[in-house]
Amino acid sequence: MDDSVIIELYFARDEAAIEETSGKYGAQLRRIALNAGADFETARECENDTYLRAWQLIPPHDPGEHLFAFLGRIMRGRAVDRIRREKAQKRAAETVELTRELEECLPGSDSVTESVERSELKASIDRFLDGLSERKQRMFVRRYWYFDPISDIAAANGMTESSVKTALHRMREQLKKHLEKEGYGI
Amino acid sequence: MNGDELMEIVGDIDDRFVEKAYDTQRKKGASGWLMPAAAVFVAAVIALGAILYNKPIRLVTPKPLGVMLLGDLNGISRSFEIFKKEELEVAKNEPVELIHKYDAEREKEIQGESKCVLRIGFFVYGGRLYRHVDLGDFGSDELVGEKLGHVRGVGWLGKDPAAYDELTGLTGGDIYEVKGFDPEFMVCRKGYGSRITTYVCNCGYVISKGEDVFEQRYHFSDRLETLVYEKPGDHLYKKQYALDPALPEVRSFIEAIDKASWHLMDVMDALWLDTEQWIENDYHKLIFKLGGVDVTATLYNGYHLFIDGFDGCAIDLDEKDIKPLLELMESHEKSVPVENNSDSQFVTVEEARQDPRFGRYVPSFIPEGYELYYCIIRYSVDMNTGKRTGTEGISFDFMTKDEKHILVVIGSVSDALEDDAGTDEDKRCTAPIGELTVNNIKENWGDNGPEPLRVCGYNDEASIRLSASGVSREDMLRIVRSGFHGK
Repeated sequence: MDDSVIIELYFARDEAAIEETSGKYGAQLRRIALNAGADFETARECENDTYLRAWQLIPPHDPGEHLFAFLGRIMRGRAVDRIRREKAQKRAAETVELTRELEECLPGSDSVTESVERSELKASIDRFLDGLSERKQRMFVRRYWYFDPISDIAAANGMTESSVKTALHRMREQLKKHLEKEGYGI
Repeated sequence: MNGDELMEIVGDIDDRFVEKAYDTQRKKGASGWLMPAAAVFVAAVIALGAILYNKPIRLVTPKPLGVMLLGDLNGISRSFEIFKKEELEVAKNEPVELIHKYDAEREKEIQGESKCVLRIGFFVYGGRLYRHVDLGDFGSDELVGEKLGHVRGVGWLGKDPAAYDELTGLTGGDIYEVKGFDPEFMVCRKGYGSRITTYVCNCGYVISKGEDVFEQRYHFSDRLETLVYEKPGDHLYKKQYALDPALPEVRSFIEAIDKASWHLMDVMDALWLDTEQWIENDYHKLIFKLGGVDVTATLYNGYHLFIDGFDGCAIDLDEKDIKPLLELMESHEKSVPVENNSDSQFVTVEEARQDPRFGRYVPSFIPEGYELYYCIIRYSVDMNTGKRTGTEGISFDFMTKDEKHILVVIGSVSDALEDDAGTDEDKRCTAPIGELTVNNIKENWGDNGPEPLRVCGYNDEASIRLSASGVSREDMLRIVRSGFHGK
């Protein structure tokens, strides 16, 4: 079913919207949580939370052509929050590794202050991604948005795992330089 | 801010990036989440299909035994990963093209339309394919051993296999043993003066560990006399430093590369590195000096080591193994600068002023808005000794933000007069500096309209040639005169 039709169901408050959403995107949404280190039950629960949140937000929000991105963003946030809460003492290895990787992009751990508007930093990262080739954009987003393991990214791109690691390392360095250049390291 | 917070903010990136990555992943058919039993079944079906139809599809990642390098009569190295039969039935069968770039226009500039063959590119000897690899450009003929025979092979102007079609055919020459190296791996031909040209057979071997190449074939531990390196960004300025192989950091580096495993590089990855890393100067160049034979390698990002002559594969190192050497190379604490004997070198303006022959002619006036883009000194080099014998010229390129250029070339008087010799009288722009006026500054018209202004002044010792756009005639005269001021 086309996304526009699914969104119409949300607007019409027809509960078939959830069923259709689940059928079309459920597996991919669960995968985000599993990639982040959630177990199956947690992934399922986050998925349900996501549908509930989508039901609450649509309408008035209309995701338009980006329904999956809208849902995935909710799912991603839910999954990360759950993993942090449930494994506060012992973080999931996957999220520990991912946050450690992203910390390399920070131009000095104390230099990006709390007062920086989140939206400004988000826009800066968007500009960074715009400057990458499509292939690199995909790799970066699959790793740090979708939490794909390195092996999946390698398989999807026909690369070796070490090549993917190097490529991601380079991109993190480039992001760091980009953030410094845009004034976040000063 | 910490990594967790940055991860949250990455979650807010524009939807189009998320959708693009989602769509692509679906199209590539990456395995999604599956119930375990279903996954096993599907894996079995796909693996069976792979065996039957020779498609290298993997759901698991088996560890390769090594990389096999093969050559064919086209000279292209093909690299394969070889797996244990019981893990996965197929070898990854993707030909890897030579990574080197071939600049056809530049080669035409150098060679004209002549199809002169510079060297034998590859030949078959003893049933093995040998390829030319640049090892020790000025390698001494003291390394030349017993004559092995006469070979005929295909020559090339550059490194593009497609160029073979244009050549006149086969060429030949005597080949010799390289003392201390197995002729099944390396042979040589005699070149001009004491130069030797080396040829390496990297075909038909399965290389698994670094030592398969570094020790078994090149004998690094026995022969290493010096490890020379260039830090990132230094390669333009050819600043090289040498390390004693007895240093513990160098010894542990050799041990680490001996133990590391070879792996195949895919074409896209290799091409990406070939362009981006070279542009961004993000690598160390290493030269292992093995007593007359230099083996050049590139250490990219501190992790990948590529060795010249072995295309399509690399070894990866752990940070802990490479860190001591990287720190040593960064500090230059125990290194000795290497005398630079290349025929050109990028320098700063101040370094150009120190040149004993032409340094005093560096102009002191350049119009406002022009910044130095590059400065290069060209040297003459003795082909027998490989050492510099003097300066041939200094060239500058100054550029504005909107890419207007001033090109300054300081050279000999004969260079300037030769340059002008074929020009019509009314278009000549060269005069002794004392007689140079604005009238000598000529504008030329090409097919695309006006070309940059040109002028050249000279005295008994040197000439200064100038070509510029967006500069007044008066300023051009002033630039040239500032180079001769008081001389």
